Amino acid sequence: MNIKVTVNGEEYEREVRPDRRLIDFLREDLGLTGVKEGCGVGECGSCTVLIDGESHLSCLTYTPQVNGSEIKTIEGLEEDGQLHPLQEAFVETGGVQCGFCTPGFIMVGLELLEKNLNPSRQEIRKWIEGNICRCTGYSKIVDAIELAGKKLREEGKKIEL
Amino acid sequence: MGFELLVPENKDELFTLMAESNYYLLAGGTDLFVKIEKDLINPDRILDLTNVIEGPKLEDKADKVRISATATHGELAGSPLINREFPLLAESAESVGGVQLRNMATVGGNICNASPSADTLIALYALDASLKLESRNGSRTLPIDEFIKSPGETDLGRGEFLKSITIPKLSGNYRHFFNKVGRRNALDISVCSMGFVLKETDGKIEDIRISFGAVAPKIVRPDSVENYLKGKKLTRKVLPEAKDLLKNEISPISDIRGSAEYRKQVAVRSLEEVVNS
Ligand SMILES: Cc1cc2nc3c(=O)[nH]c(=O)nc-3n(C[C@H](O)[C@H](O)[C@H](O)COP(=O)(O)OP(=O)(O)OC[C@H]3O[C@@H](n4cnc5c(N)ncnc54)[C@H](O)[C@@H]3O)c2cc1C
Ligand code: FES
Ligand code: FES
Repeated sequence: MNIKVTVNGEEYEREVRPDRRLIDFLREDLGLTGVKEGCGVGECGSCTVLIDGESHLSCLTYTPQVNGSEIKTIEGLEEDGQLHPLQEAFVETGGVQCGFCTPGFIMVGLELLEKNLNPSRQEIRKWIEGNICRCTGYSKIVDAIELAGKKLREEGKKIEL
Repeated sequence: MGFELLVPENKDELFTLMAESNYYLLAGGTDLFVKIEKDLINPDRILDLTNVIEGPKLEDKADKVRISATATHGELAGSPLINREFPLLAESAESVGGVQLRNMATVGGNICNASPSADTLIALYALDASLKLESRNGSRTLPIDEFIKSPGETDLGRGEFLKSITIPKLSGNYRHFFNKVGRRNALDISVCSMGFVLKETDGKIEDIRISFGAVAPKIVRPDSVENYLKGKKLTRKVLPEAKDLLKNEISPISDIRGSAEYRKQVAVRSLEEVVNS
């Protein structure tokens, strides 16, 4: 079937099989391999992308469901070669080790910071409970989200999804 | 593998497609697609309900609230209306999965999947919710307990879909309690869950509704416990009798998450927590 989507600001019109998962469409058809598949059944959060500004699991979404939607992946965050403040914060705090889970945490973290630039550590922990990291032990990830919120507040910036 | 996924634009299109061939209905896909991924089902055709169910997700009526079947858990948990009128429902919705899952999973899917451990069902049972089903021939309304038949099985007929859920408002000062016991907090299927709303007048129980999940093939409203407690004070004194009554109302199974005996103990312990709360 024919579908139209906007991904990271660019419009695409493609012929896809209706049983094509969004994660496969993004990774294989569009080459956006920052979207990671950990479990394939909704339990790890590594495949998180934003659909119309909300974080969704791309392993449990099929391409026909997103016809007409706007999708954002980790590849859409940098601007002119500059990392997004949340990406920078992950680098600074050591919130990235092997990096496999990082895109998922960043995409879900963006949705939190869009709603609240000053979340408590407990709020951050609760918010990322659908994402699994096998390396960091999570505290540096919480640090990263906290730090990004602080920097954005200090710079008077907001997150727009 | 290999299915068609169609997104009908309105009810008419949906009913026509439903009449043509076998189908599975789709809302958030968080149960359906997991079943496909695990090769438990092999559909030829999937019909997406997202555009079919129109109207507001939540409607505040004088004495009731109407919830669209496609309202997501995130929408319920974040709604000021639901938090004010039915905090038990808000809390149970908030306990489901993680943020991404709550953005996707719908309350209609939670109901129609008919799992004995479905979290919003706990609240919907305690709140005496009723369901509106629609087909080409019209609509019918029935209490939630009549809709759920057994694990995974409902009264949904061919050509029908669940349109909305209606919950009567509670008048007066109600307390609520929600408890979900699992091996970890996030993303786990519970070993036992419990929901409960309670109204006391002059220190005595005027209205009490209790529901238990994952301790029987369906959610249980233990009538005998509710009836016994009505008119009494909620103190430790009522516990021995209430516990015995409860044990006779539940029939848990043993599985990889816990043994039947363990589940019974957790259920009884939840009742104690209510008294102590
Ligand atoms: C990682 C993970 C964690 C989970 N955690 C929890 C949890 O903590 N608690 C919990 O209760 N559940 C949990 N679930 C299960 C699931 O997310 C819920 O049951 C969810 O509410 C299903 O809703 P959905 O919209 O995704 O349903 P779908 O998968 O779209 O549909 C489920 C079933 O209902 C039918 N259906 C859906 N909507 C309608 C309708 N309007 N009319 C008729 N039939 C309909 C479908 O045909 C299908 O059979 C979890 C699932 C995953 C993958
Ligand atoms: S790959 Fe989607 S949640 Fe694990
Ligand atoms: S950094 Fe390796 S899984 Fe999170």
